[in-house]
Amino acid sequence: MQKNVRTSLRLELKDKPGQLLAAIEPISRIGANVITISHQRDTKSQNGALIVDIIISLPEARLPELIDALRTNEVAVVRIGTEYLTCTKTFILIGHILHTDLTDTVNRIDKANVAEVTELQLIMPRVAERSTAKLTIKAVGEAEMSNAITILKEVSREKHLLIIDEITGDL
Amino acid sequence: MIPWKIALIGLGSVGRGIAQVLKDKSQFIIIAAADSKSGVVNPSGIDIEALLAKKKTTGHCGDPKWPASRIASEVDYDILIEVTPTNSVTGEPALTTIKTALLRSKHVVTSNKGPVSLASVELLRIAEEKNVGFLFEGTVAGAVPILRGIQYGLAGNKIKALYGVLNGTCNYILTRMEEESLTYEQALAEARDLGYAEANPASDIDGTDAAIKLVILANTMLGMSVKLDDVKRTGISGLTVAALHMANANGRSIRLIASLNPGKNTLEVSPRLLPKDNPLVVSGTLNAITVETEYAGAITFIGRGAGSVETASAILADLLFIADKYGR
Repeated sequence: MQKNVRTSLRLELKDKPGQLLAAIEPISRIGANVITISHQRDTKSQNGALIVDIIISLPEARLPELIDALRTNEVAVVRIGTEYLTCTKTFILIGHILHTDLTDTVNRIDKANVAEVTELQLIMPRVAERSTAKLTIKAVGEAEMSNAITILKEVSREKHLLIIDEITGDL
Repeated sequence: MIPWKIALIGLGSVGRGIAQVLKDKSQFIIIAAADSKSGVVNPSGIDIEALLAKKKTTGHCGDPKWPASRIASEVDYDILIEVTPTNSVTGEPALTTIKTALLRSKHVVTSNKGPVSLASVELLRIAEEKNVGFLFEGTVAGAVPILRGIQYGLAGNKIKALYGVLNGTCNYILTRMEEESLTYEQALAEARDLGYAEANPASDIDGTDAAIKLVILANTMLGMSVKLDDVKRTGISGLTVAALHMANANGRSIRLIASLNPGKNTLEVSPRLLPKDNPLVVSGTLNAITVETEYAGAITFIGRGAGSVETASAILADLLFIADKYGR
């Protein structure tokens, strides 16, 4: 079986009833898995069309077929990208990271399906001493990142890990 | 000009700093002073040099018959300065001293965090009823005029969020771990040797001291109604040198940050990662506070957060504010 890839699509829909269905129907028919849809009614393209950002998972070979199906339904595909994890945050963890099942820690964040641990650096001074890790999480959006952080904080509490997160914002 | 009559309660390092500063200010005259065991009263003005010399040689400043409580309730002063050590659980005995003075329609200036963090709403209400000043600039970030900066300098701006480095001891330890690769224990020992950390630095390093200051800011400047227990706290004792190095390698630093967001109703003190070029990443014992405002954007205050003369600077500013606003 061919491996699924994640792809982000930016679609432009005409501002009239039934258009979202026209976009979703071919995706469903082709058997792609929808990871996230963001549909902001208040952001419109220059020609007045509604913008829908969608992230799907499907066998790579079926992507052209999907694009055709969308176009047949008068849905414009204005951007196709594979970089769908647009939100990045770095954390530092301190504690018995390896001995509290590092795989489990990473899996629990990854399991959310819309956020992933994309980088991990670990320093272990000596056996039985606490180690320090730098962890980078990428997510498809702010909401998904916030969920991933909640999971990371839960795991940290459970495994007695000190978590240092980043201040972001307009500072 | 009739000088303002001052009662000075507390003769620790801050009290002595104030006595020194006021010695040269003819606008103010210290007519009563007390330490934890004794006191001295002289309506025509106390000889400061003699008072400090006596305190130094004998360990107490005057007569046990004139304790702070009696001075507060009986002496005819205009302004009471309360600078005894902080009791963050009950606020006493300072809380009673301050209340006594305010109820007698006397102005009060303090750098004592205990009573302000526990009872600012009540104390400010009494002060307003009695038409006197109750000022406490020195309770948060020492010499940095953060309270007056927010209340008057940024008047009319809604505060969206506030982030601060409010504990110089922790900031010193983190700076040394970062710059010299000292372990947490080594950096703490060094801070103790230099007098930046107290013999028992627990309330500094577990984030309590910063949290108390955050409570004062929240309740007095942002109209919130919170207690120390509402602040989520994580200290710095668990930090490793490796963590600071990893942060550094990525252009970041770690600082103990007190943060509050009135919209989300969140108050927290915890080690956080910040870009190295963020103005909050200050060195040594400095304090820094960034206020995110509605119209003015982000504004950062930086300066010395502790020390006897630095705190005396905040107290002097409060005294002059009273002289200006309630001038006779």
